[in-house]
Amino acid sequence: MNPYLPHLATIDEIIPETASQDVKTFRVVFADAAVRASFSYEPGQFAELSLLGVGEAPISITSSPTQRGYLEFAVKRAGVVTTALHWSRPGDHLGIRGPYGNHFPYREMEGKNIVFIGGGIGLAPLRSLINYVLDPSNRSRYAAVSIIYGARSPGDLVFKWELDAWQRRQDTELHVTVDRGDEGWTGRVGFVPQVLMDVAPSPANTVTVTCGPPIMIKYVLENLEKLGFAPDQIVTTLEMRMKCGIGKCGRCNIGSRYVCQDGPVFTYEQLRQMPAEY
Amino acid sequence: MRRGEAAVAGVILEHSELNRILAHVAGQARLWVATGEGEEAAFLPYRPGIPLRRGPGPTRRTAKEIFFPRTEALFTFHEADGKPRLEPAKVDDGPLVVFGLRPCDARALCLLDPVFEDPLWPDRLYGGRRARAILVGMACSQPSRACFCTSVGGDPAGEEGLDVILVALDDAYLARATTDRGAEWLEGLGFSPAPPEAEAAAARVAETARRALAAVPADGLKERLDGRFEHPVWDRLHERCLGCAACTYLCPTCHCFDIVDEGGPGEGVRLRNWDSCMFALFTLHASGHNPRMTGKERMRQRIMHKFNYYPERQGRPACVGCGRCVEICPVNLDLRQVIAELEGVEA
Repeated sequence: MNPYLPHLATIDEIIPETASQDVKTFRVVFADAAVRASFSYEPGQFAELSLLGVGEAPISITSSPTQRGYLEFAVKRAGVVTTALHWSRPGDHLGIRGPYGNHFPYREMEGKNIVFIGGGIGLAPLRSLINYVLDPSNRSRYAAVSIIYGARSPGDLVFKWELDAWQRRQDTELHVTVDRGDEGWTGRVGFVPQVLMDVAPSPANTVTVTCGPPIMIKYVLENLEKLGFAPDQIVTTLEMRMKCGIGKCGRCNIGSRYVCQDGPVFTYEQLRQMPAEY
Repeated sequence: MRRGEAAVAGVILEHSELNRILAHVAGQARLWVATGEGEEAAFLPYRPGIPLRRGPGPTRRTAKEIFFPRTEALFTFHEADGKPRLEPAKVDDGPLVVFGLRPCDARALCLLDPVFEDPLWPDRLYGGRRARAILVGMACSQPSRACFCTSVGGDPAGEEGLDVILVALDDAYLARATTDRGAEWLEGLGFSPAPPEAEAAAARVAETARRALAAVPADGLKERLDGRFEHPVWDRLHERCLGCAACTYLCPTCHCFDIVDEGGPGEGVRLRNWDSCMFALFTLHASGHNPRMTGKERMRQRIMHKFNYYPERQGRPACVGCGRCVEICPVNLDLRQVIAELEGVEA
């Protein structure tokens, strides 16, 4: 087969996420019914999204496999492809190939407490796992679930429409914070790593899953160690420039690993064995 | 490809016969031949009268280009009635013969195979060309001044990856099949069995070539580089490097590529083009972050990938000692000296 040939899909809905609209969520549906039925993925995997004539970009799948019939991608406007994508409208066509990469260790996490720690658009890959775990068919297999999520400002929070739903749940603890509030903000103000210390989850029988800007990750990792988390209890997902997504083009190589195939999900234990080149 | 039962006895091929044979082969398969000398030496499609290459060492350009072209279409697209249609590139799996590649280039293809033909995502564009290709190699009777194949597991008369190997004797070639496929191909051409003295002469040619090769201390380099990512040696190795990436473009084992769209919207093509880890933009994120900011990180990547990361995955270095990177470098940054310098790296 030609592994570079994308499936065609149509944009079903575009949800502006941030106040500045630099992040939008695209809900897309495969054009071909057979692909719609057969395309399966696991939380944490990504796909290559493309606009024909513009190019491709690797984007994590933010929907959960428990959501059927469509895929969602939360895309920050950053480069050529994502900028063009932001200009598209419902009904426009996309190319999608994937799913690629490994996934969050959701089977190994069964029976454990999970602490999600996200910053900014870093919530996008975590959201796939959050909604997988919170799905009625899966929730009983996991212990306590808490989510710590922050952004620079209230306007930079993504998935606000879903944060409310998570907040209302009895079986989930949600802590939303912003670096700086505004006149309408009545919630928590503070950096994510500090909120982590305030919440102070116990490392006993707990796994943390974190994704966010590098500076947040750095202090989150430090603080998790202070709280007594071992490196193999900390899971994260890396972002790297990629082209092929299938371990050939060489771009996402870190040490002997390829982020597109051996990642993007790594434990902190694994990251410590790799060159810090990401 | 396995060495077959029939692949023992050599046959003799007169110099004067070669053009007749190649014309015959070109009638049955797409035939690429090593042609040109010096900087012009490359593989080109056969045509009658094309001068076959004789010069020392490998061709300047690699046989890799036949299987993994500098640029190639992955698919084309066009819009009809508001709907895009995709037309995948045709997999080119017809009969193919490459004539005159050096053993180092054949080995290099064996190093590329696990990248492009991994079981999870086999790349049929590459794999299709490889599937029926018959590689007819020409043993090195005279290495180039930059060659060091024997230091990295190769040999001037090495057979890995080849289906037939030719050794140039005074007035003829000794041809020997090294796979069943090669034996079948050679049998179809009908030659006379080689006399015993031809085998002995061929062995002398190989031995002469071996003796002419410089030894580079690449033994155990993988282990020496384990855990040396932060070693100070990287601070100086890259200092002369201009980041031109010529070394990677001529390297027979480099396989990095870019994927870009041309044309569109409405009609166009998605291409893959060679790319290089020596370029600053190679790893630049859309956010502006770049994990390999300077020449130091990029040089380290090139060396570590060849001598530590690739061996970690595939069990041997991604270097065949062809010396092309040594020959082409505009600032004489010599990979052999880099390897020698890394020999002194202490734990």
